[in-house]
Amino acid sequence: MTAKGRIIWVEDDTKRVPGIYDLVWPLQTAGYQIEVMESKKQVLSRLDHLRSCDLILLDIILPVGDKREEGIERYTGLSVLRAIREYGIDKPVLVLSVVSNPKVLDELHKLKVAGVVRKPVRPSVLKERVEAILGIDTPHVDD
Amino acid sequence: MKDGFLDIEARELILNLFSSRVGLPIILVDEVSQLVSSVPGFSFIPYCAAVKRTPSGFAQCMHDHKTRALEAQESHLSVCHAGISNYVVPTVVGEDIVGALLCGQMKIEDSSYMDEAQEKHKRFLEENQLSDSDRLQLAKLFEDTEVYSLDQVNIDMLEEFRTILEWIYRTSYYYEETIAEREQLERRLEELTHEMQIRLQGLVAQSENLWFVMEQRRDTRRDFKRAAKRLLDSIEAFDTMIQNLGSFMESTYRLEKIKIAPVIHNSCRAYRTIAQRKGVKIKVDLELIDGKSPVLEISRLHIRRMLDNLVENAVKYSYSMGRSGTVKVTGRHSGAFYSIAIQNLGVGIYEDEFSKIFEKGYKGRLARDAYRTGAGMGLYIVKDIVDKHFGKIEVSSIKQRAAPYETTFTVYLPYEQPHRR
Repeated sequence: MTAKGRIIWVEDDTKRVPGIYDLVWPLQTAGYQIEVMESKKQVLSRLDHLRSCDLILLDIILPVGDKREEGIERYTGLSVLRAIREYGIDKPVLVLSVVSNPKVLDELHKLKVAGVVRKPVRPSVLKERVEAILGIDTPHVDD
Repeated sequence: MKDGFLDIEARELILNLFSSRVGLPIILVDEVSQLVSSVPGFSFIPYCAAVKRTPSGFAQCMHDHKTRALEAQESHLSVCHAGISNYVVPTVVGEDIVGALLCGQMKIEDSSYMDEAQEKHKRFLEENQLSDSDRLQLAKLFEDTEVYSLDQVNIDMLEEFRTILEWIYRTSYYYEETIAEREQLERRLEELTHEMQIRLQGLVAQSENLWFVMEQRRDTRRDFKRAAKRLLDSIEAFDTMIQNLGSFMESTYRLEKIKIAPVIHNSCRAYRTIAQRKGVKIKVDLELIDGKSPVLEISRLHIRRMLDNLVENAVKYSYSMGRSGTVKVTGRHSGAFYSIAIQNLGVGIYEDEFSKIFEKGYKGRLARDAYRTGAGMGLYIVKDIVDKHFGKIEVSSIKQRAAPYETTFTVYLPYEQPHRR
């Protein structure tokens, strides 16, 4: 069976935080292929690989590196997104974030993200958002 | 923190007291030997003024103050590079010398000081390229400089003033530390909140999947299904609590329709006692709409913080004599905006600094002394909050004939926020 679509999920917490991977379970059961990239380094070393995906799920993570950095530069997900765009990859990016800093949100929109979903998000809602971006109709999920 | 407001005036008061009692000029220099405070009407004696006017004189004086005054561990009488004596009292906080009191600008009659003074004066004339007329004038002015006996310098009183000054510096330092600590705390809270939300993400995902699977299986008991749904609801309710914590520590802007008048009055009320102690009144005049407070779409916490910063500054930099001792807070309807102006008379801002004062850590030149009580963050935060509300802020600072500056910060806040997306 061929995958319905290929999604690259940039998320550093899949191993550290129990249950995070469950977030994409409905997408997987619906036939999407999910590939996880766990760090900025991994993304930057495989930028070509991103060209062939259908959508990128990006976590705007807090940095584990230099905590002395100020302002929005503390959010390394932003620099990942910048690198993706500078490399000429225009695939839709859906941002998952616990960050509500307006400066970060403004920057995300400048970098032409397809949408921002605040964490925690229900897996069903995430699937709806992904499919809306990919232009696929999803049956509405009731609470 | 409150004591920090007294900085400028307390220092000037101390210098005034000393100068009037002892009859000697006195100045306070900071750790880079720049003049911080002096008594009103202070001027350098003619010889010192002439030395400073020579090509390298000013730089030499600065260097001399720094090395002679600030590297000294104890109070002492010292003869400057050009032969003038000052009694030097370093002010120390912890192990740091943060400034020095220089008192005198005189010649001391004691022969050992007089010999040293003559020698240094002579060397100054020889080592600097001066015209003959300048050399003659400097020699004459040095000759005319008043001679005092050491008894005329009230050293005990100077030492007492030193103690008071050190106390003032210490409170200023403490205040700066508390700002840094607060920022660190906010950052740690932000990280903690994020960590909790990430953990919650795992719980939300697992509980919804569980509920979803149970819903789809025909053989699942109804009470199990309900329990799974309640679990999901409870976790999401917990998430709301975490979000509230986030807004409490002010990383989240919660825009709500708020009556602005009570927010302004509450901010002014908070500073009224401090202002009164300083002899400053806070007067509020707000334009109402149909007798009611204008309603603005704002983040209450942030606008309160913005107002607190502006009112605090206005009180802090006000002079407290006569009509100067009034901070005026005025609210006016202005098209799509409501304007709030905070005006005071006191320490001003140079026009070429109007744009710089909103930069992080910038300290205005005129307010340099008073700014010691803060970290130069207040106006940066104010501008950030105004920007996030799609408002604007204007500043004016006009020198008045009598002396102080009339400084006004006017914030324009839109009645409604534009949609972000």
